[in-house]
Amino acid sequence: MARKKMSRSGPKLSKQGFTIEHFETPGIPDYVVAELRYESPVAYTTSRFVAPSAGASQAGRLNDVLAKFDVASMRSQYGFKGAAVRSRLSLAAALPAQPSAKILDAKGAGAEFRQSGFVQIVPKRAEDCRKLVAALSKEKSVWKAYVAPRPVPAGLSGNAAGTRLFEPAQGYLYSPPVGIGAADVWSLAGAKGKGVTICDIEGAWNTKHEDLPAGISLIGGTMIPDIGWRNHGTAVLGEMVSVPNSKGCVGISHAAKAVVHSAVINGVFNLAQALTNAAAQLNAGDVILIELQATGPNNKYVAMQFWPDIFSAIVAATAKGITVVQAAGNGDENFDLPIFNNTGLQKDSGAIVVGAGIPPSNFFDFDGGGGFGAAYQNIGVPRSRIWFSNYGKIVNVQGWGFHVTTLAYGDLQGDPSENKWYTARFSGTSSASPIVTGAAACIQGRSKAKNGAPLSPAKVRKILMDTGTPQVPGPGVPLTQRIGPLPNLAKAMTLV
Amino acid sequence: MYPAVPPPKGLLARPVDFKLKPGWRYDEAKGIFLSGKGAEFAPPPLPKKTRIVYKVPSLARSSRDRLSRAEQDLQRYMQVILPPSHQPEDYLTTVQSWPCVEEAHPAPEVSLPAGCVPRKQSNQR
Repeated sequence: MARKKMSRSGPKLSKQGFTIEHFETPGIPDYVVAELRYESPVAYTTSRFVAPSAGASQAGRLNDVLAKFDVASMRSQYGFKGAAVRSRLSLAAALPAQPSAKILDAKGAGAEFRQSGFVQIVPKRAEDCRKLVAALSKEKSVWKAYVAPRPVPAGLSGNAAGTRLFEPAQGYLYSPPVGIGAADVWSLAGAKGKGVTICDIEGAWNTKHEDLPAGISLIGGTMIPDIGWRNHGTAVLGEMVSVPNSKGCVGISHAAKAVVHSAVINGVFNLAQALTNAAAQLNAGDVILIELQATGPNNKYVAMQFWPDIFSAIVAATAKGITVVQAAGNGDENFDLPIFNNTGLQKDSGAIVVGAGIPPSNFFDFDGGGGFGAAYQNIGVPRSRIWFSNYGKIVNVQGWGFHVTTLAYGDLQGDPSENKWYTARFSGTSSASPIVTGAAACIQGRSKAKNGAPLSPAKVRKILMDTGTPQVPGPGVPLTQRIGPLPNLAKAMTLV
Repeated sequence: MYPAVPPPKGLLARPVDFKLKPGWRYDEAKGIFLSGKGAEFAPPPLPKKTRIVYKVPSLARSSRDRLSRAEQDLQRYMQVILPPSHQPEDYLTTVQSWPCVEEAHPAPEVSLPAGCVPRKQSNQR
């Protein structure tokens, strides 16, 4: 039987969000399987049933049925040749009606005998199958007749229209010491960040992503038309405000409102103006996140408050009651070096400066299976400094700096539309800072709900530092390379 | 190799950032700097389409005595925005020599602190 190339039509979704592809196999005809009774002394050729005299009437009746249909072919369902099929005749003639398994075994009627009774009958017209089954089922010599099933590939094709739920991979939501315990405090009034606005300052975002809330607005600056920058901004937002539902991720502070401000103004980076503009549109208790770094005097990346205009802009924003969270940067730089004396890297701007710590795991791609590429790598002791993170006295707290599960990039779930991309590998002080920003928003939301007013930025920072799960040393990364503790929201909320 | 994502090449210009000496201000309409003691300074010609702007215009327009100390400091910062084909290092000495300038430096080279960008993107089915 010639097999033609398989074709398939558009996907359907299961309730679980998996994609179910509809396969068609037009070159493979429908056919009927008839199982002869063990005790029926009937065999078959490629065109008709045959039998010795004892079974002649049974074979004749079956051939009468076949004569009513246009049969294309007939063969053993198990591929037995003619001699093997005919060998069943003598054994069948010696069996009682409906023999038990014990009797079959006693008579030596093994698997080959039992399989030899399965006849494959292929009508020329597929619509005859059901009629043929009905007719054969009435015959005494047939135990059962049925239309053969049409198998389809058993694999789940994946990701396209139905996004899976990635919350189990968001280990940073988990209870300390693994994560920051966000999920532990969500039941407290306001602790999902309600009433708090978060402004992310960087360069581009995909605010149309399926897992972001509607209405995230650009409140200033110009978007950078670059997929790398857009992925980054989207991933940052995802950690903080992903919509809690049955798909995608869940944001740490998913009841907070998010807005974005590009640092590009007049065709150049002007973070000082972006900070000032953002602060002018926010209120006390809100949170600004600076997701940028720049090259410092040692030709390594440093935190943006190194530059005095940006330092002043942060001081001005925090003086208005706005908590400013800032990525420390990925330069493996020591901010306590003499070269930074009297610079913003050795002064308190009021910002919460965030270093990158090592997570225990990302709880997902342990073994590289599932099509996600290489396995999660053990890069050091959990909560010790990641080799690239900047460090020093002004670095207040740490967040997960490696393999954070969030939106964008598409390595965890790809799709023709970037609105459905997810990643399990967002890293750097970039991934660490939104974790702390989300924690700050949870604290301020809780304070508003419980106390009727937000806390000062200095108080938020102190609570995060005093209650966090301590930094630990690792090989080559002693505690003197300070990045601070990982927030512990359950403990933090006791001081709100 | 430290984790970073730079902006697309050639998309953004890089200015010279500078800070005015106390008492100086910039008259954008006339294109001159004015001191509180009545002195004037007209900057020499710069490349065509160069702009001299306050970094935070809203603060520049504000009365100094209504600003916090940090805002008063921030009020004095300006930028010389050169056309993208010009490098700020080439004009740094010029800007530093202006009598109204307390300090000048090329604007920082900004990037995203993102690390370990996924090795395998599977965004195409």
